[in-house]
Amino acid sequence: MSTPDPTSAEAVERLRGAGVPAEQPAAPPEPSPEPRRWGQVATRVAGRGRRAAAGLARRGLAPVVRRAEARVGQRVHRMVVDVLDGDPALAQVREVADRGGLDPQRIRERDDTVHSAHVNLELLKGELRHVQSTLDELGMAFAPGTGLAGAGARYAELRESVYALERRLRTAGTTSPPPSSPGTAAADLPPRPRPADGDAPVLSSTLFDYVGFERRFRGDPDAILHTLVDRYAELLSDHQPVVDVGCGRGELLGMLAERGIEVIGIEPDPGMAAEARARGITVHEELAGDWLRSVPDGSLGAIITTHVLEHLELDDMIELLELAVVKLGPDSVFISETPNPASLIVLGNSYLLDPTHVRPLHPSLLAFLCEKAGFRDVRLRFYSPAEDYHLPMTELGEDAPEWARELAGSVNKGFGVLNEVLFGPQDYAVIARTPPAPSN
Amino acid sequence: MTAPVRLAVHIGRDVPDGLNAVLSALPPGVQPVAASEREALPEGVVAHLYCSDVRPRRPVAPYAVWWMAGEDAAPAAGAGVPVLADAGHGRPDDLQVSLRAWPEHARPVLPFTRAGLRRVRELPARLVGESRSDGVSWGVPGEQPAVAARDTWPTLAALASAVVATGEDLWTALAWAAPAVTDAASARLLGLTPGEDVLVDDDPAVRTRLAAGLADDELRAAGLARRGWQAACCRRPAAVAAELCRRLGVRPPAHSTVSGLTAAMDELGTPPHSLVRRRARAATAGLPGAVTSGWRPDREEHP
Repeated sequence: MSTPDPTSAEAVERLRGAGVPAEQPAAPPEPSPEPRRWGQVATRVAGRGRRAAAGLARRGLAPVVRRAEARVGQRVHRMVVDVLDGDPALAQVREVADRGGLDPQRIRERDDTVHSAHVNLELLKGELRHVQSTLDELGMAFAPGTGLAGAGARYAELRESVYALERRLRTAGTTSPPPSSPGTAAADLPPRPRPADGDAPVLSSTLFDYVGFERRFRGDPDAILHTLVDRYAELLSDHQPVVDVGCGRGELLGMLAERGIEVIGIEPDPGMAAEARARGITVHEELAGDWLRSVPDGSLGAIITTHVLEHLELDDMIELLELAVVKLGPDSVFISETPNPASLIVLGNSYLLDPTHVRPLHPSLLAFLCEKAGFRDVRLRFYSPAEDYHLPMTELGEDAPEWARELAGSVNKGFGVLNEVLFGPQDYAVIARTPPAPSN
Repeated sequence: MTAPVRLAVHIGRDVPDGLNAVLSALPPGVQPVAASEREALPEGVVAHLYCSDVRPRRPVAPYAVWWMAGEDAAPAAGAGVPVLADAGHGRPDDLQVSLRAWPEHARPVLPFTRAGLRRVRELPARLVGESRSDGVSWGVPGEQPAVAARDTWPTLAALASAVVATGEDLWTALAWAAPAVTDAASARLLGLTPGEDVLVDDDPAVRTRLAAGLADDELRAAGLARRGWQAACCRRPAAVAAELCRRLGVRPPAHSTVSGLTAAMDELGTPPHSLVRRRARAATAGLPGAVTSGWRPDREEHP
């Protein structure tokens, strides 16, 4: 409902009526009664004339008009209905009209709404472009060469640099001064005494007979030894001196030494360390972390651990890996062989069998930890699939029917997956390298 | 079909409400499009409007600049570059946008017409209306004023010889082309020039005396009323949009759905359902298509 026009008589009456009149309110002049009376008479006469004429017309023409109207009306109505019903557009028009689509006011409102939406859309597009340009500038600040597309990689590099600095800071306080002569081998350094309060022991139980356990369950020691030598001796011979962390009785180092490779053993267990020394090998009877901190940075050629890391707590393992990166020389090798928990028969048998295992080390996890520690060119090698347990593959001759060959193919495919998951490689090794020396 | 003429709008961090209103009120046939310095412009762009920190380096097309509310100094635009701003924020020559609603029925009623209407409505020949925070009053200068309801202010704005008003009531008075007296803050808020568009004084008693003087001086009141009304009109988004297009040389395509007669009536500010409009239509409907340009008596007219 709209308000009356402010200049109208009604609005002025409201102004006058609501107000307290001034001292001398302007009194409206009294209308003269004479013209009003004459006007009323004229109106009455005209009304009577109109009524008389209408009555006359009704009486004379009404029956004729009524009859004609009925006939013509019916015919016209039928024609119009026939025509309109046959027009499919009419249904659409009716529908639009029912929705108020033909109301000019609503059409205008709709047009205004569409126009406003268009303007808002354009403004939003402008804002979006502004945000985009801001992001582009941010990307250029991160990675001037590539912009936002390369910002992720650049950020990863920066993060890696921060990690490297953090590692260096962490080890800087514990690093011994550089040796007087560059040729001094790490093995010649005096071993640091073990702290009195002691770090966390490798084994969680002092009562457990690990030597006896190994003898019973680890398999033929000679066979294992030869396997290890076959796998790693050639690689290790190029990177000396070789440090075996957790060398045990020193069997592997003994065989490497026989090939003329310079070796150092790290073994905290006094009994095993003594046996290793009996083979003529240099063995430091302390924890790996303690010994590694004592040697100069970049002084080692290779570090190998076989079935050791899965016995360590996560922080100790990460610290060992980070120390290894620092103490190994450029382009040196780090080898760690552990049970492969991705093979379920290993996880459910040999891994669980050993109560001193702390956690299964998935190959991807160990590779990730090596990368995080600062190794480059981290590779995984898998060994010894449990082939004795493999589900047999079906082989059909050429004369077998097609359906049988298809069935055999499906079964073999399924068995192959099962063999991989259940009876896959029992061991794996991560072989990682330290970054090469700077070219200058 | 005629290709639309496009106004490229460069948006920054914030979009002022006034900009939205101006773009929505652009003449039919002029389309706003969001643009960026780093992207190719769409076809049909004939001018630019910059509403961001980014300013054109080597402008090849005419452009205008929006003076953002947060900026203290006026944008460094070249000579002749239109500057838009919110009302009260810009300089006198800038295109200032007011988002205040235009009062219903408002039209310019100049002093001579006012005098005639007062005579017909049997109101005093010299009538001053005053809007205060506590209400509305009216009366003959020098006599005891009468108090009226707040919603009768538009009637006073339309019929009074002069008004004293501040804030929103001043906007209503200007919309009715009333010779107005106000305070400095209200004039500044609407971007009015003291002495030209309105008379300004911060003392209420002086304002009342100024209004009484205007009631006696019809010539001065007429000049003040015309300029005040024009100042208020040109702050409406549609007027700003039209003026912006004029200054930028943006001409919408000739084709229009509005008939030539209706467009002419609109341009003259004729009310949609006025008698004048009906008479004009009746007078021209018989002519063979010359003025009506497609208008038909049975069709709804463009408002």
